[in-house]
Amino acid sequence: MVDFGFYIICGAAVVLLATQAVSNPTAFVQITVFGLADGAMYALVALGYTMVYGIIELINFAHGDVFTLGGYISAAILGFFAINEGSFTAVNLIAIVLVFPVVMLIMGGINITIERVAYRPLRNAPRLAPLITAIGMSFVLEGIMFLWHGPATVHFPDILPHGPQFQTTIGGVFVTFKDGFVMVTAVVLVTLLAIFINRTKLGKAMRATAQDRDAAQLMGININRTIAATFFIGALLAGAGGMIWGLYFNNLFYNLGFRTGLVAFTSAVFGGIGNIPGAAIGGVLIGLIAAYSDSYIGSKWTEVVIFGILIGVLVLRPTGLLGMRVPEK
Amino acid sequence: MTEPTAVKRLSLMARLHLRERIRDRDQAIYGILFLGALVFPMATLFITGGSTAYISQAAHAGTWVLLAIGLNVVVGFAGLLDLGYAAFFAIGAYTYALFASSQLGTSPLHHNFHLPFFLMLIIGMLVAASFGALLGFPTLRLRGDYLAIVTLGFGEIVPVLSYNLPQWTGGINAIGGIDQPWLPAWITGPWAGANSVSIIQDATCRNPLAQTQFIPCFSFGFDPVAYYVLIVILIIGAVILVSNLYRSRLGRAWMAIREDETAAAAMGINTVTTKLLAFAIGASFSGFAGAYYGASFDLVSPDDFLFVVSITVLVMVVLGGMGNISGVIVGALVIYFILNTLLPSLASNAESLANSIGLGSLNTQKGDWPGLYGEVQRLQFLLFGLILVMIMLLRPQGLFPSRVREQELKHDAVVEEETVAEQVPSR
Amino acid sequence: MTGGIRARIFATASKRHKENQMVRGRGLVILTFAAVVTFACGGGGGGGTASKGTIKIGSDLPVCTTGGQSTANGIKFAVDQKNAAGGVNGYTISYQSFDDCRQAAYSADAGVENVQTMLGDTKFLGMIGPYNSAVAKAEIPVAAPQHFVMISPSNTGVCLTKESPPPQAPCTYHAADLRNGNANNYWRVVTTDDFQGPAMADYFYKTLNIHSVGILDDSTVFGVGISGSFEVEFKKLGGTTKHSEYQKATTSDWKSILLNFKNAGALGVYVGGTDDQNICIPRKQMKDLGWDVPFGGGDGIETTDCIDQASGNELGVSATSAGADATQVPGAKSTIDAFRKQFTGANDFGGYTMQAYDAANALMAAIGRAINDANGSTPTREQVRAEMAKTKGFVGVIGTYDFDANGDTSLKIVSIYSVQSVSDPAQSTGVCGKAQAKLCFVWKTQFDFAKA
Repeated sequence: MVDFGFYIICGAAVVLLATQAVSNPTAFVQITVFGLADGAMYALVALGYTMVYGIIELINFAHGDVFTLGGYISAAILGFFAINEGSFTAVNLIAIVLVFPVVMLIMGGINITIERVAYRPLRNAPRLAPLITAIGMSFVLEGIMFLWHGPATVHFPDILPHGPQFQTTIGGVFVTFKDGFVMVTAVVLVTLLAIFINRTKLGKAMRATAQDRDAAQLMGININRTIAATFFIGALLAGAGGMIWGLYFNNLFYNLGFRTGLVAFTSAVFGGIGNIPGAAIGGVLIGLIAAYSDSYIGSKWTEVVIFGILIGVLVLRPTGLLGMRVPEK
Repeated sequence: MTEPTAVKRLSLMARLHLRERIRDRDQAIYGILFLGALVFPMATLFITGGSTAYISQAAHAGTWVLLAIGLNVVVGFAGLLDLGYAAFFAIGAYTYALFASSQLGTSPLHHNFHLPFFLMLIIGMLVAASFGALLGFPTLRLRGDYLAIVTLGFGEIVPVLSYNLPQWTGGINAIGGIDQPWLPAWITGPWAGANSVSIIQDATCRNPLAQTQFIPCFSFGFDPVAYYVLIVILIIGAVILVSNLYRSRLGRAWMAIREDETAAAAMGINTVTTKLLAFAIGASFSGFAGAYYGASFDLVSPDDFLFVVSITVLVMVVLGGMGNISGVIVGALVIYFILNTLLPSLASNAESLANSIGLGSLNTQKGDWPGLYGEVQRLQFLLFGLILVMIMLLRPQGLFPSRVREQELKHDAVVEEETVAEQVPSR
Repeated sequence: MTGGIRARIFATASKRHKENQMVRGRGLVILTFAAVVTFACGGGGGGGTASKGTIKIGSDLPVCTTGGQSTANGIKFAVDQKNAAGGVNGYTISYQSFDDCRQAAYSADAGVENVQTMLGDTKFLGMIGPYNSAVAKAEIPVAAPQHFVMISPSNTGVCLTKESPPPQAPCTYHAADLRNGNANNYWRVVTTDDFQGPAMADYFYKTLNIHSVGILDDSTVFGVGISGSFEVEFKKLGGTTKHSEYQKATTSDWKSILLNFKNAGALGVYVGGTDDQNICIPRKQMKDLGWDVPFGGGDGIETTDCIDQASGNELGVSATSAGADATQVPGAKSTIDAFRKQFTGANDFGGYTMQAYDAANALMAAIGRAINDANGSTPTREQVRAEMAKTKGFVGVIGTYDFDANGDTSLKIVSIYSVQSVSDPAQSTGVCGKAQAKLCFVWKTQFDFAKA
């Protein structure tokens, strides 16, 4: 019955979009391209939220800041290379290829440390205690970035191929190399994650721990290691996301992760929190919705639209799009 | 085998004794707080030679205390996580601001309302409570963290709505020129501070009765002492109200739901109604605080109700000790002090410290070094985060956990000890 | 939120921190320290004249930002000059800078608290500030009942002093309500957004010959106000506009908005907003869209950070500034040179430094006359306020001007600057980039609305 309401709302949205699409198809497709690129980045961050929530039921408020810190660190490391912002050189390519794994590993290490210091000691504490330390860690990470570069917007080197020669125009719609890069990288990373979760032993351990921690422990799974691995993998994706964000927008600021994190968290809930493909799809959908809302409703209403959807989804279809129950306590 | 029994009896005795001590502890905290509230204005007036700046800060802090007391009902008593508490605060503040300023005159209504403060205090409370019920109704049937997420979304939407509907809320320009509370002049007292004793017999009071001048009245103006007295009275009222609720049948139902919702439902508690009441009552306190805030600050802007506000209040509650009213008040004051006085003044204190110990060279800007002042100012975020993490790691239950909670924890520890004692062969 | 907490912890960031050497803050330690310094300075600077006592003036500025800091420098320079010349009628002026930043962004609540602190100390007879119109709106109602003089060096929000002129959107709050029946206590030395916006509209329409623009505002008081006044003037000239807005918190990608402008046939973009709301990042993204049209804004984008945000697409950015360029005012150069000798940092001189210098001198002049009114003893705040209201023909660095009954200056000059490559950034009267140190705002032209 409630699902019925959900479908009606979805249908109405599709019809509204379709009328826009018919009236100006070029602009519609163009906006879709923007939305997909943004959504790919939200998806990368949302995965970290959904994995951590799935396994220890913690809304990890620090995750968005891990994402931003990834961008800051990659900008710093890129500074060591003789990169050329004006045109695309071989050095740029080497720098990008090298910095990606380095940043991901650094962020993974940082996130494991955060988990070890701030969350693990509180595993048996009252439920809200780790939530507060998560908020605290979010302040700490923002504080570090603030101390590092201050409140101003930080420039991220513009080293991806850009300019008129690096974009294709199909029927009035242009797709830049940057758009393609963001989408392809995100798809590759999500696919790798899915393979990891479904095919490896550690992935299996993570799924088992998420389902029932005590039972998993009885089966001989090292819970602490599994949870640490979850944080590590979440941060790999967030670190990559931060760097991709920087490469795409060329701007970062210290509290970027706060709002991006909220939107990514919404994506995770939208897709069904705890559900990995759900988070990826949710991220892309939220990116699209934000882009459509910016264009067709007005960007000042975008936040209302996104969070209205969040509330609507929870009330009408609490399992999210792909469905997985929020663990009951 | 007799020994474990002796241990058990001893620990029981110890627990009983502890119980007494804890009760005393709460009473001691109340006592200290009350005395502090009494002495504070006189002490600061005396020390600073008549400056009311500290009193006005304390009056602001009172808003937070009220908010924390209200959120404690939701989070501490009923165990519902509310991440959008600021939304109800906003609703209360806007309710007062709209009906006690010239704002609605420029709105499509074209009519100014100037309702008296003490009436609006109640109305603000009711409006916030009904919004709480409205939001809670469809969502409280759900369990787990749904509520947290829904309230988070609601908390994000409300400030955006007030930004985006400028014809009603003034939008980003906020609502200013809000009426001050007034009292009939014959109710004078310590709140009739130095700047506002003058009895105003004109429309300032904006009261239909006063305009006929039957009741001369005076306005609070911006006298911090008046607001201080008002907020202390409001807080005392709130504490009495909430303590009684806590001890009532409803309070016990909340606790039952917090501990085990299924069991509570099995015991015949209507969980939806009970949770809804917790939610609405919690919201009503922030509506209360909102009306006071609007009057004392004379400015209601969407900027004042962002997500950080919800988070800050939550931190106050958890840090003070969920479920324990006196602890929550202390938590609110501690966090307010850290955020509002300690951290902002740190930079200039560090600067003067460096000067006095001969490290004045640190204060000047050199190359990348922004000077000690700038550097310490930049540290604020980091320090606040570290303080939060440290306190939570050291006291996961908060500074002053609720008696019942603490008992449970103690009890668990005792039981654990006993099991260990039983497992070890008696010596 | 309340008081200062307002835990703007995450709240919007603004410009880089600059250290300041000013005594600031609360706490007895600091006040004591301030008193000692004042005493020392007073003794040294008085040059033999026995000081009759100390009169305090304060300032309320976001000194965590380069803009706020460079403005505070102007006040400090004026006070130092005055004290070195013997003070005001035998009184030493003690200047205390209050910071209305909370977590790196201006906060109206912090401002109100600062004003309350000043009101609590009877030695304070007036203040310079605030810097942001939103803060002024919150502070005036607190200061007005106590007749406490406020002179802002930089508030351009129209409704603070008057009703917005008819074709523009009516004020959502009213100057009279802010003062609530009290005599006016608020003045400003800069002209208002209802001149800044139209100046750029004239520049776009007449000089650049652009007849269709996209307008973007950052949803702040300043951004909404200035872009509104631009839009009204631009339409009056016969142009067409498309208006959008965004919020910093939620928008990182402006491409869909810009695309809408482009599709609507816009040939220029006007932004109402400030760099701390990332208002110049759209300039960079215009390049990503391959859309190369002029980009203009108010004084909120005549900043270093704006040039940095526009990275790769800096040229073609124009900004208005409420006031005359120093190179256009006879006699201003000597003051600026003297200032530069005392304050040597790259960011010590900013767009509102000389405005603040003038504001401080106007206040000290009023205090001087009020001392005479009080027969040489310390005047009351009301006496200072009354004298300030009588200010006529004030000779300042940015010109010679009067104040009207609302508190507005008779000087209605708006200058237009554009980003260009210069050879010697040190001589530039406009600000320059940080990453691109040779790209600076260069004075183009000025509009004088007092003559029009």
